[in-house]
Amino acid sequence: MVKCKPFFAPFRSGQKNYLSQSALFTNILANGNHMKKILFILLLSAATQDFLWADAGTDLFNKVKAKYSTCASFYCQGDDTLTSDEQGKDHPFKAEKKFSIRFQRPALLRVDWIEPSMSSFSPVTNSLYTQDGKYYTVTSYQRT
Amino acid sequence: MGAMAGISDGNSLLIPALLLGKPGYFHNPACNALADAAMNGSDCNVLEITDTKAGTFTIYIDKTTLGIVHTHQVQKVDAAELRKAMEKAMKNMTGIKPALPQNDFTIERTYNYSAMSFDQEMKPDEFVFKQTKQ
Repeated sequence: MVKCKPFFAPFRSGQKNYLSQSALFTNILANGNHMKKILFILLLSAATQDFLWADAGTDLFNKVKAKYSTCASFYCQGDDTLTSDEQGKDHPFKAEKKFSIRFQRPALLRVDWIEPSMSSFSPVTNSLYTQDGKYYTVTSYQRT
Repeated sequence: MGAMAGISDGNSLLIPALLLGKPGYFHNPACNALADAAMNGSDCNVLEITDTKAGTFTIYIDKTTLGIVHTHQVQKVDAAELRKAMEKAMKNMTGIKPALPQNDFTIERTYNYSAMSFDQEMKPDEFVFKQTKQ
């Protein structure tokens, strides 16, 4: 348990007694000195703003998840760039790919991607697919 | 990093996982809304999602379609943790083994999505392919 000064105690203790917190807030606003009031309002507005942004973020992410997990079908294409400094800051690694994603509910999924080959001038083609929720991959496919 | 070494090079963990209702990258995400922005020609809501395992994602979401048009992932990799995982995975492996990482490092990954469509009927043959002979 973190020991804290009485003014901050209710904020840090995670107390659930909102009624007594509310009484405390009123008390600070009514009886606290000027600096305490300003500090209190700043703390409260920052905490409220963080809470609202986090709440709005979670709501939006849930909406996005619902959109993707209930759509009848989906298609997109795109590019993917990966960089890493695993070999040191002076030797950054970079890999680029192009991909497409197609999906038909209930579970017909196919992801195709194409990337440069380490050993040949011809790029490597790969697929990820599922019809049953488990993933399978195929390398060097040819579209029918 | 384990995901990068998987069969799909991480490709199954974002959009495919969302489509199939799987957690993918996001097991215990913390979401924060950032300021709106334009991305790839779309007016977007922007989210910062932090996941304890997969790192921090900035995700641009088209306001009209709710489709994800751009993601940027930053993942700090702990070399010791990764070495442990790789050693475990390579226990029964024969032949040349990949070098083990010595220092912590950072991976950044950017996806741009285009030509996106939802709920457009797709023919089953869109999903059919045959393997070429090696």
